[in-house]
Amino acid sequence: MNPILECRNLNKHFQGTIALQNINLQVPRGRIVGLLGPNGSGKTTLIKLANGLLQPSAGQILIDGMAPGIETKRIVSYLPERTYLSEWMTVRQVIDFFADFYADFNRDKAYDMLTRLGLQSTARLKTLSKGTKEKVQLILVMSREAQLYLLDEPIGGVDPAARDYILHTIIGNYNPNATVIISTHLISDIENVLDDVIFISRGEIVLQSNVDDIRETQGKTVDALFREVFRC
Amino acid sequence: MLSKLLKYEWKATARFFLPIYGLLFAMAVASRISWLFSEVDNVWNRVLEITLLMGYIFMFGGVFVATFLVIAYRFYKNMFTDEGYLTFTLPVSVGNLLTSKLIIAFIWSVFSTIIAVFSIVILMLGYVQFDTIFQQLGMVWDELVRAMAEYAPHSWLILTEGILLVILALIASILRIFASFAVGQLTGKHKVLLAIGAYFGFGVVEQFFGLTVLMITPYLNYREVFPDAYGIVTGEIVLLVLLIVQLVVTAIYGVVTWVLMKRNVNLQ
Repeated sequence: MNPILECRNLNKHFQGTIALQNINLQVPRGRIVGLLGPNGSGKTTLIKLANGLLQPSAGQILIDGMAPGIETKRIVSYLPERTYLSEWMTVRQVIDFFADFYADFNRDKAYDMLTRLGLQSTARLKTLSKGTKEKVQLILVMSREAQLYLLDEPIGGVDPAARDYILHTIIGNYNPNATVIISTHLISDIENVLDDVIFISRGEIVLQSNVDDIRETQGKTVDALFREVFRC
Repeated sequence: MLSKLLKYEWKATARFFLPIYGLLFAMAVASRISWLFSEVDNVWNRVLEITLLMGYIFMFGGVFVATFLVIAYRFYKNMFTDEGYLTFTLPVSVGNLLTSKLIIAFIWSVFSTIIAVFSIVILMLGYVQFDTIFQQLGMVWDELVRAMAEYAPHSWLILTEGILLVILALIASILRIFASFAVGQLTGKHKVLLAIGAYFGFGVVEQFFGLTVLMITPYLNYREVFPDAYGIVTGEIVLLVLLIVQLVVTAIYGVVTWVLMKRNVNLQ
């Protein structure tokens, strides 16, 4: 089977600054992958390119062998690093919205997670705190039965208890053929759920490895290796 | 998917338009009621009447300004702010996105016009004998039907051309807003400022070509091209030329928006 995500000589620059340089990458199916790098290393740019929110300057990015488009949007569930929901809608309305547009959306799963996190479906989004909105967004994104989940900083804004629940949801709820890519710099929190890691620095991939390999051959945790690679 | 987009586009805009229309009606009704007490000769009574009437007139213009602003705001907010992260990751085509926004904006523009006219009717209640007006309108209508029949099929052609021209002009005015934002987001910075600049830029270009066409058309020698052309046929030809020009303008705005949004979206 073709890789769920593939980059071929992918480049992206913004008016003079280089955001991504010659990225060559293959991410297989059925993996939980940490996309790790310091701030401004190009994590978000890579994820946005995969969603078609940015256009490559050169090279290609392919999802399931296809350039980002309607077909790839059907199978990709994306959590951006900002709140993208319409403030005037209620939680129930955004659930309906997702169910209307994404055929793979599982409404029961969404309501179940809402209850677990103690959220009211009748609440308007503008009345919710930033952290609560992030929880709602994560619930929406994880309630899809997608083939590729692209989670950009999914745990940055929520409290540690919710963080645990969310990570548990990510590993517990997804289909074994789906791949989850989590971008973050909070490595120690997610280290235990990861199968693979990709280290990205200044727009270049510096390491792509299996987590077990890092532990066995280097005898280090991912967090320790990260600190070593990205020492300031 | 288009029907779902239309549903949400409608919901997202109705929450602005319904209160605006409500306010216009409220001002019309309040103004009309204040006139019931006009026999009472009192300074405050006059002040109240004038204030309410001014408020009504303000709201009347406001409905059209608000229609324009809501269409522009909704397009910008839903496409180029944080909401764009969801809009552009929905499994729908850019064509469908634009079509849904265009259709809903068109409907609201027509509604605003109807509502504005209707508010005048409220204001005139009791002052005008509506049965006489309807009677006269009926006579005008009969006369119109007679004239249409007499000059058929030319009359029908001219009527069709006229209606198409109005519809196309309205579509173009909406697409011009969309195209301005599509151009405005190209650099990533100062999106709104650039969009406003683009809007006026488009206006200047449109005026230039519009005036050129208007200046040229009277000098064209229709009889050379259409030897049978006389009177009403000349009108048909002039309208047809205007229609083609309008079609080109509308198509340019549509294509510019579509191409830019499909190929050059860079949400930062």
